[in-house]
This record gives sequence, structure tokens and C-alpha cells, in this order.
Amino acid sequence: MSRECTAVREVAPDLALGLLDGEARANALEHVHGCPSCQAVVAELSGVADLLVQLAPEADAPPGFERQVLDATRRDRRMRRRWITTVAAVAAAAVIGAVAVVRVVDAGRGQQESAAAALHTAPMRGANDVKVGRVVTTAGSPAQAIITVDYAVPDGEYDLVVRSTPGGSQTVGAMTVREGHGTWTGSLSTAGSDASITMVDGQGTVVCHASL
Amino acid sequence: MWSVSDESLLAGVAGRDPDATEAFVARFQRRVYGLARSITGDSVLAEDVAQEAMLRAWRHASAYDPRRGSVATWLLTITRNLAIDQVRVRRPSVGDPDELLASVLAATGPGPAETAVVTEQIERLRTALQGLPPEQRRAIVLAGVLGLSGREVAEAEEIPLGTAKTRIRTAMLRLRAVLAHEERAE
Repeated sequence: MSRECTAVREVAPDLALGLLDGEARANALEHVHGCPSCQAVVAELSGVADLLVQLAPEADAPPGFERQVLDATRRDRRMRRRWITTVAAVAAAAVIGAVAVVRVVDAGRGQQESAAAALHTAPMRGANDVKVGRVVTTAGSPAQAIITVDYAVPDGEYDLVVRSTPGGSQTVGAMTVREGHGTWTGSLSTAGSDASITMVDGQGTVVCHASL
Repeated sequence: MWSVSDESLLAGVAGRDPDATEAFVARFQRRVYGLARSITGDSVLAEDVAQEAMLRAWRHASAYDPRRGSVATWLLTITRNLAIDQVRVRRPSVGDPDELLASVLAATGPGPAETAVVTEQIERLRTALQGLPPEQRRAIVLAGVLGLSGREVAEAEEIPLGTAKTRIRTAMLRLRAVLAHEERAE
């Protein structure tokens, strides 16, 4: 058995249990990959580790648990569909905008140019800087935008307010949050520096924001 | 649906079959919730963790790789990681190791969906655990069942890190030796 084998055998239980990380894990895995005998040892220890996690005692989940999980999967599926549809719509709007730019440039300069329909994504952050959703915008101003929140925002009606220097504050729309989820699509003027979008509740409190 | 293998059921979940999803949740909910409660020691937090684990399994069902372990191990590892994250955020250590150890050793084993081979292996492992010195048994349960790191085991047991690592490694090697010996004897 080589010196490397000896070193790897010593940490093999840690490797199987997932207790190794970083360089130690990478080094061990590299050796195991090319050493059949160490591979066999780690495989046996991994079998033990796989069984160990199954030793935890079972317990009756609270009433309604199953229904709540199934409802959550349905909500998740609806949100993903809506998200894909709206992102596709924003992307389509960006392409239309880009084509329009190309045509204007063509007409003015008589030469071929192209404009990339770049999309920018920014996190919406709420209290304690927790990510509660996201904003996707097209390039240019006004930008086409889709704003989605899906975490920790109470149900209700919110104003969407763009703030920038020197543009000040401008309410660009409203979003309804139901069952913890809300989506808004529309145009945003992002001219000026430090532009941001905020969601403001009925009491005038900013519940979350994103930099544009 | 109960006669369907775990792998086939998960394939149905990946295909977004509502019947398969319902059966999957029904099959594993007691084990997922039980593990979450063992780690968090809090029924409300355990319910959140168990729900999130099920939702993650549903989202990532198509990424499951049977070469890297059974469906039960995959799902319970997701649960354990989520529960450990919650515990690390909310309090510095897990519940009473002795209480956990007693429940691990007394557990009745996997539910009706498990194959006889897996059930037998788990029972053999439980017996082998009982044959370990108490300090090794506690260390391996904390690391192997609850997913604590060597440092966390050292803190929970109030022992040096080196001692914790030695107990975990020695316990793993002894368990492996006992299981391998029994398999050869059959």
C-alpha cells in the first residue's frame, strides 16, 4: 500500500460521511479515482454512511402535512410556468426593441449594425437584506421589466415606485401579492444614476427594493 | 402504488405525475419528518424543514442519480442538510444526544416500502451500533445520523477535536468490519 493509500484510508470514513471539504476532499477523491483498492474501501464505508442516515426514528407528520406539500408543488409549478412565460415576453420585447434600433440605425447611417437584447436580473431584497424576489429588465430606458416576489412579502396591494437621481420618485404601477406570490410587468424609466425600484405598502413602508 | 420501487416512484415525480407525487409524499413523510424532528428538536421547525425537503425533492427529482445512493438516502440527506442549516442559524447545538441515541437504537426501522434486504441491513447496522463502546456510538450517531461536523461533535461531547475524529473514524471502521463479516458469513 502506497503512502497516498495510507493517508486516504485514514480519512476515508470522513470522506464517506461527507465530513471532508475543500482541498482535503479534492485530494482524497483524486486518489480514490485512480486507486481501485481505496475505491472499494470508500464504497463500503459509503454504504455504512447511507444506512446510518436511515436510522433516524420515524414520526407522524402533523395533520395536513401531505396536503400542504402537494399544494406547494402546485403553486411552485404555476409560478414557474408564469415566470417562463413572462421572461419569454420580456425577451421578445427586447428583441423587438433591438430590431427597431437596428432599423433606425440602418435608416440613419446606411450601414449594418446590431443591438444585443441584453437582459439584466437583480434581486429584490426585503428586511435584513433577505432576497424576496427578482427584477428582470431589458437594456435601454424605458426598459421592459418583470418583477416577481415569492418569499416573505405579506399578501396585499403594493405600489411600485422607481427612485433615481435626479429623477426623484415615480409610481410606475401596482402589484397584488396573493398566497405569498406576486408578478408585475411593464415599463420602467431607469434614467439617472442610482435608479432603484421599491415596493411600498398602504402605510407607505418600503417592504423590498432592487437596484436597477 | 406501494408496490412501485422508490426509483420508479421518483421517476414519476420527475415526470410531474400527480399520483406519483402524492404516493411519494405519503411513502416518505414519516421518515422525513422524523429525521427533521430528531435534528431540530422542535415540531414546528421540523414541519417547515420536512415540507421544504419534499418540495426540493419534487423540484430536483430529475437530477437524482441512483449510482450515488438510494432514493431514501438522497431524500434524507436533503432533509438532514436543511435541518442542520436551521439548527445552526437558531441555536449552537442539537438536542440531547442520549435521547436521540435511545430513539435511534429503538427505532422500528423503515416502512413497508423498503425492500427486505435494506430492512435487514439497517437492523444489522443497529445491532452493530449497540456493540460499539458508548463514546464511539454517540460520536457516530451525531456525525452519521445528525450530520454534525467533527468540530460540532467535539463541542457537543466536550472533547478535543482530535478525539472526536478518532471516535468517528474508529466507529465507522468497526461498523464496516461487522457488516462485511456478516455478509461474508452468509
